[in-house]
Amino acid sequence: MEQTFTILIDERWCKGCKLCYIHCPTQALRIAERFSPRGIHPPELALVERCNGCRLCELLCPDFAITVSEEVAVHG
Amino acid sequence: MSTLLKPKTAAELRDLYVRQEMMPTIFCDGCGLGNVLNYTLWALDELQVDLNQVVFVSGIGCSSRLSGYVNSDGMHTTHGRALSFASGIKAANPNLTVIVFTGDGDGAGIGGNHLLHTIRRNMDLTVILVNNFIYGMTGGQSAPTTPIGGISSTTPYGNVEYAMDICALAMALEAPYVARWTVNQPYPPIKSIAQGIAKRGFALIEMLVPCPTAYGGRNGLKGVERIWQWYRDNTVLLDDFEHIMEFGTHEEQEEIKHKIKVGVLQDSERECFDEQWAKLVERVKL
Ligand SMILES: Cc1ncc(C[n+]2csc(CCOP(=O)(O)OP(=O)(O)O)c2C)c(N)n1
Ligand code: SF4
Ligand code: SF4
Ligand code: SF4
Ligand SMILES: [Mg+2]
Repeated sequence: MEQTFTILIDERWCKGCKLCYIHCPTQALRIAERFSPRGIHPPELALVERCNGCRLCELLCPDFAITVSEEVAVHG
Repeated sequence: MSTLLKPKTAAELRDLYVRQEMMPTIFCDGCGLGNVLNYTLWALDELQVDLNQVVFVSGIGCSSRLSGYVNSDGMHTTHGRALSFASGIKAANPNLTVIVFTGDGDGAGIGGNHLLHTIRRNMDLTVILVNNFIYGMTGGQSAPTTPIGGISSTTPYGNVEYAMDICALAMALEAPYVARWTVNQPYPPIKSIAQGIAKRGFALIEMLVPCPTAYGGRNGLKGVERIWQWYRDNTVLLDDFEHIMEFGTHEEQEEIKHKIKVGVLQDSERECFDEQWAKLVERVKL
């Protein structure tokens, strides 16, 4: 099975600057319509199958707000 | 593909190195200063330096706020004088790793003379100098790095003074390590900051950082995407520059001629201040 990844956004720290969204090489992210508790639109992983786990979004986030992790298979 | 996930995650990094209560940073949306912090911490982590043996020193400015986010000993000093404080710390205890965050105004403007003489002394410091072409914190006055024609609050009709090339100055003073990077790509600056920290003697790493608030808006680069793209369009890797200048067509050469060169610009060996000092003490002691 293809490896899949999840994106965790720390909504306490995300400023909604969109740098992750702009730079994602596979355009896997989108900006959510909902508001975070800080009153901004946070990014979210829109297309799980596109994300290749390159971590560029995580490395580029100026506020340590994104962490990319490998999806752990529930069924072994 | 475990190799993809090798560096610590952002969450692990911030838990280890960042003062949680200070977060998120005060920096504006789309400011690249947070990236300088992240890259420096990833570099420190790569070297596995004990944070108890590291001191961060900075002057005054948005860029000089960076030292305050790191959970190590540090000093947020006076405008332009970070290098003097850092030199004192290093002279008192040469075993410490001393890293300076400074800005183009702080380090090359008001602190320009200190920069010159700290490089001349070859103090064993790593200086991460953020060049955002402007005095960001005070609302966008022109800096010694503002490009010709650049609009700032003190040059509302366009700057008529030539910009200073900080790396060229450091190279002329024979700093052992000189590099310049954008924040657009994470891995090259992370690797280079690690090299600078490991380097014996003065290491200058100039980081070209987008300031959308005080520089971009006035200079036709409104919005995060446009100002970040500017750095892609207006810089060229040193290796590519040299290759094109030697083998490229006339058109290719014309296209890159005026771009800002990024990469490791100087990497050499030279005895540093504390080595010279130790030798002197050995020679003259009774
Ligand atoms: C002695 C002194 N003069 C002037 C100031 C006002 N001042 C604060 S920050 C700053 C400019 C900082 O520019 P830079 O180092 O480029 O930092 P940036 O905010 O652009 O990151 C100035 C002039 C001061 N704090 N102290
Ligand atoms: S780069 Fe970071 S702060 Fe900016 S929108 Fe993405 S997660 Fe939020
Ligand atoms: S890990 Fe890479 S592909 Fe996945 S969302 Fe982040 S930048 Fe896009
Ligand atoms: S004024 Fe400029 S340098 Fe200062 S935080 Fe805002 S964008 Fe960054
Ligand atoms: Mg500045």
